[in-house]
Amino acid sequence: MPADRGSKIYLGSLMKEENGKGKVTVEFFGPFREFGKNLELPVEGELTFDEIINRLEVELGESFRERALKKNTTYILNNQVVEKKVLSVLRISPGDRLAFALIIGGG
Amino acid sequence: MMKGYAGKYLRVDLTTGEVKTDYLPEEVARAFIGGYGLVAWTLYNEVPDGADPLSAENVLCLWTGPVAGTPVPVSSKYIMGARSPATGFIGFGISSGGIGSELKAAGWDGVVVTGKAPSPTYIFIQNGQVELRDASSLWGKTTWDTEELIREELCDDEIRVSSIGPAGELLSVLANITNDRNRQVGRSGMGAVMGSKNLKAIAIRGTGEVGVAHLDELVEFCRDLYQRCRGPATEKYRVLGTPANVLVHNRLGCLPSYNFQKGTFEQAEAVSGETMLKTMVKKIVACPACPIACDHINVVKEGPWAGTVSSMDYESLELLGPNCGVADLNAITKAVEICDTLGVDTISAGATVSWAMEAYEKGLLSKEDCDGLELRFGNAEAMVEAVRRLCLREGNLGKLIADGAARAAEKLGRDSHKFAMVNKKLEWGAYSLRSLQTATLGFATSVRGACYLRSGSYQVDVKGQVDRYHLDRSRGKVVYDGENLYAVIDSMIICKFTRGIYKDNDEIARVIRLVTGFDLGAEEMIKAGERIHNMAKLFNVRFGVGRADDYPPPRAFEEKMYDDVSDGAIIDRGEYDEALSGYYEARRWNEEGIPTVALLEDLGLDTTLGV
Repeated sequence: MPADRGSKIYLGSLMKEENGKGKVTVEFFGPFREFGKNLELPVEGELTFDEIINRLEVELGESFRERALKKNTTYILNNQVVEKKVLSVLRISPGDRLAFALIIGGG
Repeated sequence: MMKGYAGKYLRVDLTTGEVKTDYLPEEVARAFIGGYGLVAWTLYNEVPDGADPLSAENVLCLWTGPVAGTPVPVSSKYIMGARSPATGFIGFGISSGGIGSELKAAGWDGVVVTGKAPSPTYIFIQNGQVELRDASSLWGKTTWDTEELIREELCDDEIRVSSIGPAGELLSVLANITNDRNRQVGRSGMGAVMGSKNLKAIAIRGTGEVGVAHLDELVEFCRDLYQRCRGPATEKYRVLGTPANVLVHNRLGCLPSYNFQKGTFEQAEAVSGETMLKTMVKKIVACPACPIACDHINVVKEGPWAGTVSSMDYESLELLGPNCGVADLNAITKAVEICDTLGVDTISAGATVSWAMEAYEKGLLSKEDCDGLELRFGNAEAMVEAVRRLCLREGNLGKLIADGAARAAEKLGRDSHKFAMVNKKLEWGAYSLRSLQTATLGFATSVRGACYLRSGSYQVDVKGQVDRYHLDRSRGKVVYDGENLYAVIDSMIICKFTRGIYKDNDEIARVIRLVTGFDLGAEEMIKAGERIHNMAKLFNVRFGVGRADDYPPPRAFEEKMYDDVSDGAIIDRGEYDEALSGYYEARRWNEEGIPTVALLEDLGLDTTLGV
């Protein structure tokens, strides 16, 4: 059962994997599939979103940063879509799952 | 003469064969804009009290909007409406393709059809000439064949055709209307209304032009809009089409699976837009005047359904796939092709077959009831065959499910209505109820039954702007705002996929102004949306709608979800009651959901517009 359902911001430990020690899982959806399906990023302690992007740029090349920071990119942290400005003040730590996508919503 | 409008519409009495011209009053065009607004206006004023939806008394109308046939991007849409045989309330569906601009080019804003033809008939409109033609040889044909045969018969490849398939002829209340092969007036059983009138098709050829009020300025603005259509706001539709939703919704725990019991699907990757693009998509096509091109055409390359071709969107894929536990894109593509050619709404078909699968797994349906099919979740072959039987009302199973989950549950009994995922007897779209609770409020209060297209209320849930696992009174205003704007969009009629290219409501109002010359600002435009929505609601009030009709199915309140993401989610009935009251308050309706006299006066619906 996800925690903090009643809270105003539904982030933090939501759906974090208990056995995710030492790694952040990064997933790629839609056009981000050009960078692969997913990867495990070894992480010690907490990282900012910018630090995650830096690490991914090293892994995936400069074009990833450009694509990831486009205005229409959607970031999903665990089970929650998070705006970039919110993401930038959060800390991402082992067990978290971060996805890059283009969100549609309707269909 | 009004700009943007032809200023006239056809009246076709199928009983007598009489065809007349009627004129669209300017005050009606100003008040209701077009499309959805004119459907609500027509049906409210013309469908007699107590009219059986499948009788000659029902009125079927086809309307365009003022932007059809103009340079406005993705504007060649049309709407068909009637009292719905599925819900008993207002029924309508909007389709893309070329019908809207073709009818306007022929010199008509709409067609109002009454009565019942003595034998199978189709209407052929060629500019100012209208014929009722014999459709006996077309009866029983698929929608795709009907389009081709009519073009052959009339020796004109440019003719646009809206037609029904065998399901409409057999009066399935899930029957839809197809045009341009892959585009449908999908929901609420408009195909059955056509079938009940012995009306197989409406064929249109127009060669005229549509006048607009401020052409140079409109062309200049549209140039900019076309650029925006090719930009980031619509990239999501161009790359994967709407099936891009599958993996995102799966990650968010709002991808219905196993008849809405769960919000994730363990084989989501296999049926994702990403996999589909790599393995199935043969080409991507666009509607007329559309620079986006969202329509992904799948081809099955091998196996028992090799050679199958169908257009695939998220709703169809989801409800015939994960919601039936099916992870086979070939089977899903085949099921969509069956629905499209035989003329059934894929959303309702998927949600109905998944209901039958759950009934089978619960032991409420036997193998004999299912004509020998092992109708278990995940059985792709059984899903395809069940869809075919549904479309043709064939065998025990087909007879049981041909009219949707709610009616099947009424026949079966034994509490099976508790897992019939419907509102107002219309099947729920591909959005999880308990993990997208604002969406659920929007679906359940929709005038045409469970509908994701009336308010877009899922957006605040999916985007994380609210606590989607809970409801409160403020969500009513969210649904209200969405409905008013969408009523405008559906009345103009422009594609909802372009809503992101407009910077604000002022820009949408500007389009209406440039096309029609009406002095209309954003505020007045939104008020028109409110008026239109209330007109549709008033139609429902005439047919007995009340508060009890604005609730989601029992599963939402009585069973917790179980999955990796939204495990334990459920809707609290007290919270829902409060949110529903908040919605009525925002709408200025009473606690039973009935518009007040003061509201009708404010919207000009009291005397001036005949309510």
